[in-house]
Amino acid sequence: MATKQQASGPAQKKWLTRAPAVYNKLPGTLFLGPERLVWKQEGVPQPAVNVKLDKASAMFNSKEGALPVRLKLTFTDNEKGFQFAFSSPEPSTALEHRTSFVNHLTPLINRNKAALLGSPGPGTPGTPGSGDGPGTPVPGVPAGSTAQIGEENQLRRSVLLKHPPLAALHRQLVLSGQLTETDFWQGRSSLLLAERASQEQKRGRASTLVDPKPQTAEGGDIKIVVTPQLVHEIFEEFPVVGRAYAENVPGEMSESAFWQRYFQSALFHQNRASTRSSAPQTQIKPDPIFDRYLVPEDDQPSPISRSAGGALEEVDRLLDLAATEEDHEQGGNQKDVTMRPGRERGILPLIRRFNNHSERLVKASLGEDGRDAAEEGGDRKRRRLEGGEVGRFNPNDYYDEIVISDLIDQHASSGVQLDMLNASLFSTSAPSATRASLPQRTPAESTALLHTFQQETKDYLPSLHSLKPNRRAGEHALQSMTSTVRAAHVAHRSLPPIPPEFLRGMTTCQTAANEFLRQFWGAVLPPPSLYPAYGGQDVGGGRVLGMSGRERAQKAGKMAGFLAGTGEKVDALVRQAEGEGVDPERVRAAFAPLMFAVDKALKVYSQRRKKAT
Amino acid sequence: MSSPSHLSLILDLTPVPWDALSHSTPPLRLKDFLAQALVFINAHLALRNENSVSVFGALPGRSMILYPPAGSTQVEADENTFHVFGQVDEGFMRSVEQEVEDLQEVEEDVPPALVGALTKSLCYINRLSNPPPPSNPSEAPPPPPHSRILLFSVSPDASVAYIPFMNCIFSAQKLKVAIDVCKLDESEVIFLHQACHLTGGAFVPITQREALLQYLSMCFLSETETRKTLAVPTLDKVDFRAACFCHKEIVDIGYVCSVCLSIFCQPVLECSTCRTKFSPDTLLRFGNMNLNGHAHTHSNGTVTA
Repeated sequence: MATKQQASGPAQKKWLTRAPAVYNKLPGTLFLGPERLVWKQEGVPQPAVNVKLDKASAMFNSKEGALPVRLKLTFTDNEKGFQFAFSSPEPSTALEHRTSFVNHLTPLINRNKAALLGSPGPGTPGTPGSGDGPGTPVPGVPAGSTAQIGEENQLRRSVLLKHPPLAALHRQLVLSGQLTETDFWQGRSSLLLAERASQEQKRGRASTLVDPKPQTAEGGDIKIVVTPQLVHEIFEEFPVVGRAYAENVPGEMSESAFWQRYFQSALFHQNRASTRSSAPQTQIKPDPIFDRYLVPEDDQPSPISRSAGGALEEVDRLLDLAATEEDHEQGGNQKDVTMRPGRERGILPLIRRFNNHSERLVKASLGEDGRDAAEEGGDRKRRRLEGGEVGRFNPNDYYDEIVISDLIDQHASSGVQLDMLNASLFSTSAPSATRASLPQRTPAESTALLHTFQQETKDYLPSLHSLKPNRRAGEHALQSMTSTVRAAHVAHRSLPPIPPEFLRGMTTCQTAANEFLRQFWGAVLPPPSLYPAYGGQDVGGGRVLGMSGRERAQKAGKMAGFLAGTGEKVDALVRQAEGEGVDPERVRAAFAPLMFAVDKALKVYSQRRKKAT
Repeated sequence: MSSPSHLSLILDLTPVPWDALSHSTPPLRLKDFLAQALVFINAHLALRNENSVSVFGALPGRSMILYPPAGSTQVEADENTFHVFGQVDEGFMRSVEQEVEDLQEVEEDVPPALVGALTKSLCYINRLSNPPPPSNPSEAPPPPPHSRILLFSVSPDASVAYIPFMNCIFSAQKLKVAIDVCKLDESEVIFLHQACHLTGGAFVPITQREALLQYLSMCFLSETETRKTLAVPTLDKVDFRAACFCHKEIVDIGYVCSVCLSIFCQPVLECSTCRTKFSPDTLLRFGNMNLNGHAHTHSNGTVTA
């Protein structure tokens, strides 16, 4: 004990919890401190395991009820981690010990995970307790918000995982310390919101029909794994089986015997979801208990009603197809081919089973989510039906349903009409062209012009016959066109490729500069404001989202500094191009649009500064 | 077996630009131009038996088809001329003469209805591509021809007609019709550049006007498929700027309505095409701009940095 305390430093630490545990098949004791985990073998003075907990990344428990009670811890630098088995003689005490360890370790691990997401570089505000010193929370931050920030970091991490280019940009800018984490995420809050929305969606129930398939194990035995989940699903799907279970277990037979006999019985084979007859080699033995629950095959023209007690289901009167059956009885005809369910009688039970399954699923999902909406409608209908059923049939009760407002002749149909304000804009007959530079002609001149023009079109034949193209002009034209083609050909010739390393350097410079430009303009341009005062002044009046004016000015200044550095970076790249064998002019031309944008941003910034001072 | 080819010419017959052209250096008179155009048409018809041609004319404010002539005309056969050539030349020139005769006055302000002629030509081509079923059902219908349009331009762009012109270009793309442009004068035609580029045609500005025929036969005589193997000189740099919808001026940077994608040079309170009202917050963000159509102007003040 003394050696241990000296080794752990001047501060006296009390162990948070301790428990007897086995590690590497050796008995010993496990101690948990605020910052470290220690395991000491019985009888050996030096502890075999003594790790700091700031790198703990995950924790695993063995199943409840499975002995021995195990706990495994993995670390970021030690993926294999350590595995301990709590060795108290009583299983319940071992479980208690493990629970206490788990309770202490969970917040630690969560904190570590959150710290992992925040960049480990210096100068990163906003991230909670960075890796070292898990015991000291950031001053002023209340405990409740660490959980929020942890969740926020989870979101950020999942967004980065989903978009690899964004992750590359993040790594390049944030982890090298050029940009802070909050700055990076400020413009991208929409991404985080979308991620949160998609994580909050819950998956509904699976809709597959319950159909456990027997797997042939070795030795020719047929094996079906019965899990509690499967049992639950079977009871939901086939209430008959549930009834059989309730009545027979544990009275008539044990649970395992029940399942064995069930899977071999005719009841199971009747309920299967395929019409394939089961493997011919297995005989379906008649089973006295299960055969009591066999229902006759559901292949009559009308389906067997499934509701409990066999009461007629309430069908909305407007949809009831059988409502007028009494009028058609005397015909003596069989029901038409379209009114007969199914083409072959053998298929009917299967189809009806599918229908029942789908109905149950829809009712279940509606019941979970849309209960309020469905209930209101249902209640109204039910009330109305009851009133109609008990009393006389009152047709007025159904007016709300059959009257469709769209069909009622309204005088002004609502809707936005796509009126084109100036339809003349879109037709060619608009003659309004303003030509400022027209020579003013006197009427005499214009008539003369017109007359000459008209003369030109008469008597084409002589000029056609005497047409002789000018030879020199023709050759000149040919030369000029050939040179055009040659120039185009040369321009389209593919240039030798730039070596990939150099190209990567160019692209990183470009993306970094883009990000700075984005941040700069985000800081300079007016932000989206919540409540703008309509007078147009958003100074003082109206709340502005994001940072205050001074912070924005600071940020703009910082970004302007970075942008000024971009010019030098480009020059360095151009100089480097010579060495790599790439035409430096090409590189400069490639960066020309970027430099244009950077110059524009810097000009705006200097103008603002001049105006302010 | 390749399919026959149809050539559609569009001529701009406004008096004023032609007058200017005939006085420029090197001069080009309408007579010479028409003669060279006729030779070009004959050459196209001579390439293949089933080739066909149609000519449309654009006059100030209206456009019409010049060949095949609207009414049926009787052409007397000249023994010294190949009858197909004679027919086409005679019919075409007669229509031109008639239309130009009908001009009453020189309308200087009205731009030529180039877009109208282009639309009519596209409709004609569409009709050719979907021929009515033959009267004898056992015959196979003749294969529809590949078509292209050659536009002779002598005047600058009419930016009024930007929207209909773009619609024409899109329908030409659908019909797979290439629009070639032969530029006879030196004015700016941004829309015609775009038309050539978008439909895969050739844009050729003519410098040696006396050798027009040389240009025509070198660049425009070949069919669309043959052009893939020949190297046809065309203008590479295309100016893709658009015209704003409010003033019909060409803009570099503008504001686009998010509903109907119409372009404005200044921020507006309400889009003129689809009547969408934009929120005042967005407009405030654009800083010290005077809002279009806003009666009382209030300066938004300097934005706090």
